[in-house]
Amino acid sequence: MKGNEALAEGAIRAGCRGFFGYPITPSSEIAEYMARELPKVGGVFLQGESEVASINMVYGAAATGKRVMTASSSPGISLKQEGLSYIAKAELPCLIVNISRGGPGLGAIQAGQSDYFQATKGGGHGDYHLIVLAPSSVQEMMDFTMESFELAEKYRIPVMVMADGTMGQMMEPIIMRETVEEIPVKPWALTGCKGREKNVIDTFHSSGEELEKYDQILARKHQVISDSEKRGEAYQTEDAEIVVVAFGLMARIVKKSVDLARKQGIKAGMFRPITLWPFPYEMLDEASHAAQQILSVELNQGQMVEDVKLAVNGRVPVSFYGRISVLPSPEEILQQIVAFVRKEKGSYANGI
Amino acid sequence: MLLTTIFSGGFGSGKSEIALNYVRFLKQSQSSVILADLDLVNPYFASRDQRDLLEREGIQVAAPFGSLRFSDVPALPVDIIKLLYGKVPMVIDLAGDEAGATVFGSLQEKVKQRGEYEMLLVVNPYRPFAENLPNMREMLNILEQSARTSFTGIVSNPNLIEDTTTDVILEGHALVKEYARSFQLPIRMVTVEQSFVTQVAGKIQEKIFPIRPLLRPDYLKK
Repeated sequence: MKGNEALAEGAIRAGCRGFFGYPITPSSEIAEYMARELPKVGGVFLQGESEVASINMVYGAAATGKRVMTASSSPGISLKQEGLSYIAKAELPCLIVNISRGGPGLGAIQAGQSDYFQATKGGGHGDYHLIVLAPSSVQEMMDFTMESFELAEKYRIPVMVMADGTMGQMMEPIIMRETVEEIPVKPWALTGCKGREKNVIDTFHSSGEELEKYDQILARKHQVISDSEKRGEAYQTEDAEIVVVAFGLMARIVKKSVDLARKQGIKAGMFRPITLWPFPYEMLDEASHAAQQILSVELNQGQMVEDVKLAVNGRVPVSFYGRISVLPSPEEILQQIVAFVRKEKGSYANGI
Repeated sequence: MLLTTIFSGGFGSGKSEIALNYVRFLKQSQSSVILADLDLVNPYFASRDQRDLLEREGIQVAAPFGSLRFSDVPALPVDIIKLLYGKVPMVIDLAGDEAGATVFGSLQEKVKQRGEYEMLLVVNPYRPFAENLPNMREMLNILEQSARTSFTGIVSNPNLIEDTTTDVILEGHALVKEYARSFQLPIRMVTVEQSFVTQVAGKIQEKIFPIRPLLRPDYLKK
């Protein structure tokens, strides 16, 4: 399957019954797949007149407690930020997919990872976070999508799956996951209040004290998520003198670079954050315990590298290598690894 | 003489890889050949990515180029009409599904006027919407209506990329044969990654066309 197809099929298998979106390359296959398949299972596919309209449709539909989602690509995700802020404040579970391309502005339609800050540091206005998952295979496009709905409902929080454009377009064989049959009932949902107290979903507070109280509840929730949901993958880091950090598809490429480096006798390793928020700081710190150098490789001008620096807190030097909308080859990253190692050995030879 | 070979089919059915391999095969026996990349729907993993390789081998490439290559606008190659009036054998790589076939709808008269053609339906039965006869029939109908052209044959392309085995090929091909019988279309070739050719040779009656994948990046290989 293509990444976008696996993601869409995963959403349906997870019980998603509402898709509201507006097409944009390279995420359009998700909308196309949903348009074709959702009505067959009694779901609603609705193309809004704009991204702003469709995110507000997600807001309304999520308030009913149904599993709903939207998907877009970078500029479209920017348009959705206001709605996302409202959904986060209203504590509504839903899935937002960003099949990201190069930016800023209209940018380019090739793969990009320049939306890292937007995804992990807010995006819209106000104090909030999304849980952000970064798949690195077509299988994970399906698996993480299915998991997203569980996480979203567990914490009543919007979850984002962020994958670059190539991830959406590339094809890999996958194992289909079982369809989720039972979706939890939500006592908070707006389902008609006949015979019960009415539920209110709102994001406005007339007093500052009240807003502060509710925002503190959000902050505590973020803390719980941060304490329990961090995920990462360490590869060959046990004895690694240089650890390369990358997420999404870049992690696949870096893994190949690490293998090539190991063949040359270089002790290289890779760390991949799977949750971009919460960022797995402690796991990266642990994975780089033997490292003399960390290299963050991203398809942007240096965004995740800030979290990488926070993770090691000055203990290890951190460098950055980035490309914009051009996927580097494993050999290109290997050159960076080799250059660092030569520099290190050179320093030792000089007695430093 | 066969002048135009068109590869059409669903998204990700393998059209671009097959068109690339087929045009290189044609070049071995023809002095001039053209690859027309009419995939205006999605520029990722397109046959024009191999433009340099083809041109080095003397194959003419008609494709959106320069700044239009990744412009995300449906721009036809500027020289396509001129080339269709000529008599150089041409391989056309259409984009997936009805949007891609619609592009051909606007060119079909000129293709038919220039001479003998083959309109081939590429089928990988392991792809979504190609896994059973009703879905495949729906796709065939949509593609034929959009292209305003009936298919003349089928390319059987059963594979699961790196997870392909001999059984995967043979079982998938058996399904494609069922489709072909139902559509009353001949199977013109069975495309098989070159390392499998000897393993399936005695087990498939139709012509086997070996494929060397050119578009799959190394970092995706296991």
